[in-house]
Amino acid sequence: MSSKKEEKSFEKRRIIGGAIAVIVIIAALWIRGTGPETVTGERIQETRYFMDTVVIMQVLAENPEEKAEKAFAAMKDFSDRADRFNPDSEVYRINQNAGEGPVEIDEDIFAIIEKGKKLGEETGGLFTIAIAPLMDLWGFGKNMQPAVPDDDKIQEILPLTALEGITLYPGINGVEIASGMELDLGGIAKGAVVDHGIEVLVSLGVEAAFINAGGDIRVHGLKEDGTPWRIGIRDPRREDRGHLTDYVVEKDSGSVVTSGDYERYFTEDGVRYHHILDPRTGYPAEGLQSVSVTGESCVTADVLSTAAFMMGDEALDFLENYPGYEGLIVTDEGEILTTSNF
Amino acid sequence: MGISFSKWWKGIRKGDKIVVGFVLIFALAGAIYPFVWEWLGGDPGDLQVVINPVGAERQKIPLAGIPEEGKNLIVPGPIGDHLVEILPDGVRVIAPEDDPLKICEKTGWIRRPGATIVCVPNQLAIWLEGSDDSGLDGISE
Repeated sequence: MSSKKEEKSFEKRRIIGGAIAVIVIIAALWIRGTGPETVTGERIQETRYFMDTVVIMQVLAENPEEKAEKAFAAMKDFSDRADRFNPDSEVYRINQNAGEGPVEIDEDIFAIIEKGKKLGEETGGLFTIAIAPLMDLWGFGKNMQPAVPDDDKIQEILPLTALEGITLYPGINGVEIASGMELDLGGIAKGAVVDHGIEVLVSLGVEAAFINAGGDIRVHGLKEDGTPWRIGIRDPRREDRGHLTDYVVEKDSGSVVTSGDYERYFTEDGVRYHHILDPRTGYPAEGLQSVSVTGESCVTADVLSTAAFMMGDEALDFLENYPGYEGLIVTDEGEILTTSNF
Repeated sequence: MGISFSKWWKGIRKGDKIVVGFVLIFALAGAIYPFVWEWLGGDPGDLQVVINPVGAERQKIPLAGIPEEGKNLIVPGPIGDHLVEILPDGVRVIAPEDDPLKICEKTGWIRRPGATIVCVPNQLAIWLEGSDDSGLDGISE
C-alpha cells in the first residue's frame, strides 16, 4: 500500500517537473518571438578609406550591399568636391580665384559653405572655414612639416581667417573670398559627408544605418533586435584608445562627434602643439582635452565640438544654451563635465 | 504543492540525479568560462587586420594565425616604407622617417574591432574587423 502511494507521489512529481520544463521552453520561445516583426532586411558592415579617414558603414536593409555602395559613392563624390587639395574641386576653384569676384559652384557645396559661415558666426567666429592660411603656416596642411611659426607671421595671417572676408551670392550659388584668403572645409566636411551618406541611405529606404567617419558618427533607425545604437566617447588620455566607460550614448537617430587634442599634434622643445587652432590667437586652443557633442545633424555637431573646444571654461555654458545639442567636455585636469541632458 | 528540495531529491531516481548533476556542472562551467578564458589571455577569435594602401590591393590577415612572437610586414607608400607589426591581439605601425606628423605611429597599438590607424601622407589605412564584445557599435573620437 505504502509502496503504491510512494509510486503515485513520485509520478506526480515527475508530471509537475515535466510541466514546469514545458512552460519554461514555451516562455523562452515566446520571449524570442517578441522582437521587432517588421525587420525584413539583413545588416552588413563595409569599410572604406577616403577623406584621409576610415569610414565604417552599417546598413540594415534588403540588398544592403547595393545601398551601401551607392551611399559610399555619393559620399566620396561629395568629399572630393569639398577638398581644397583636389585641383578638380569646387573649393580649389574658389581659392584659386580669391580676390577676383564670385565663383559659381554646385548647389550642395554652396549649401555647406553657407552653413559653415552661419554656424561660424553663431560661434562668434571661433569656427571658421577660412582657417587654411593659418593651418598651412603651422604645417598642418597636407604633406607639410609642422613647426611653430614666428609670432609676427601668425599676427599677419590672422585677419585672413575672418568670416567677414567671405561673401555669398545665394541666387547664383556664388562664393567670393578676399585676396589672400583660402577656404578649408576640413572642420565641417566630414560631418557634412556623413549627413549626406545617411540622407542617401534613407532615400533608398533602409531600415537602419550607422556611419562612422573617423569618429564622426550618425545613426538612423533601430537595429534588427529593436535596440538603439550604442556609441562610446573616446577617453582622451587612455593609451589603448578606449572609451569613457560611464558615458555611453544610445541613439536611434542623430549624431555624436568629438574634437580632441590627441589626433594631430607635434612636439617642439618639449611642448605639445595640436591642430585645433584658435583664430583669436593663432595658437592651439588651450583648456580642454576633448569635447563631444550629440544632436541630430553631424555637421552641426562637428562645428560645435570644434568651437566649444576653443572656449575652455565657457564651453559647457555655450553647449547648454545651444538648442537641440548636448555636450560632454574633458578638462585639462581630466574632469568630465556634461550638459544637463547629455 | 509545497514539496521541499530534500523530499524531492530523495524521491527521484538515481539516473535522474546523475542528469541533474551533469546539468549543474555544465551550467557552472558555462558561467565561469568567459572569466577563465580571459584569465588565460583571451582569444583573438575572428579578429582580422585589414591593410588598405590607397590604390593597391587590400590584405586581410586573421590574428588567430599570428604566432606569439608576432609578424612584421613592410608596406611601401609614396614617402617611404611603413613597418606594420602584428601580434595575436593587435597591430601597430612604425612610420617612415619622412612622415611629418607620424599620426599613424602615435596611434599606437589597436586591439578592438573598428579601431583604425591612418597614415595620411603615405596613404595607408589599417583597421581591425571582427565581432565586438564591448557592447558598443562605435566610439566617437
